[in-house]
Amino acid sequence: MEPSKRKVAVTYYGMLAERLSIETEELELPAGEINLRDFIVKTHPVLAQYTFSAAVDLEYMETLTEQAQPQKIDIMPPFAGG
Amino acid sequence: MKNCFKEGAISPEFIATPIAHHQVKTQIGAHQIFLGQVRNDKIDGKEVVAIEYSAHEDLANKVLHELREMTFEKFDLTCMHIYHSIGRVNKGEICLFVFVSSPRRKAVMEAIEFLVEEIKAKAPVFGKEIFADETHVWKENL
Repeated sequence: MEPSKRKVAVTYYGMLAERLSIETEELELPAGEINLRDFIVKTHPVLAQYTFSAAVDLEYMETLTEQAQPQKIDIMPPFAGG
Repeated sequence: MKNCFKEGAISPEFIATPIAHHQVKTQIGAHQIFLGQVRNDKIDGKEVVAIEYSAHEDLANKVLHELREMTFEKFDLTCMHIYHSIGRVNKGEICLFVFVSSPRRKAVMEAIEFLVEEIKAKAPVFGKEIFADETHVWKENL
């Protein structure tokens, strides 16, 4: 039986949204553990030159486990508050 | 969860209000306030006239809530208030207001430095530095 596909809403913020000209998209996650930076750069190679962090369901995270079933991934540029 | 964001600049009147409200809390012996102000930096010869802030507000409010809890655990504080602007803030206007109170001065001085550094490092707030000709560059905390 084919394993169920993991689809997730991905939101980009700040300069990343501006660079990609998109704010959200739905992506299918590959099987296995996922390095989120590698996954996003593979999806959007132009982001390789950018520093960014990721949050999964409102928790900062760098990797997703094979079992994870996230609802939402947020990709954020360097912070500039204050 | 408390919403720490305010649309536009944080006014001096808004900052004065909690100071007045704390006068009835007579166990307090010291307040410390940090105000972040939009600086008119010059970048490649062009002057910054404003910063337009955006944020991942749900995550930022969660991070700020966790920071509040952590700061209360770490320091002997009576009260703590954090407000950050969202949207456009012109040069010279206030974009961050952090206010802590304690029976003793040492706790507030240490807490404010800790809090401000943590906010800058961990709260997902993004800033577009706007020039007079309305072009922009993205700001990054160093």
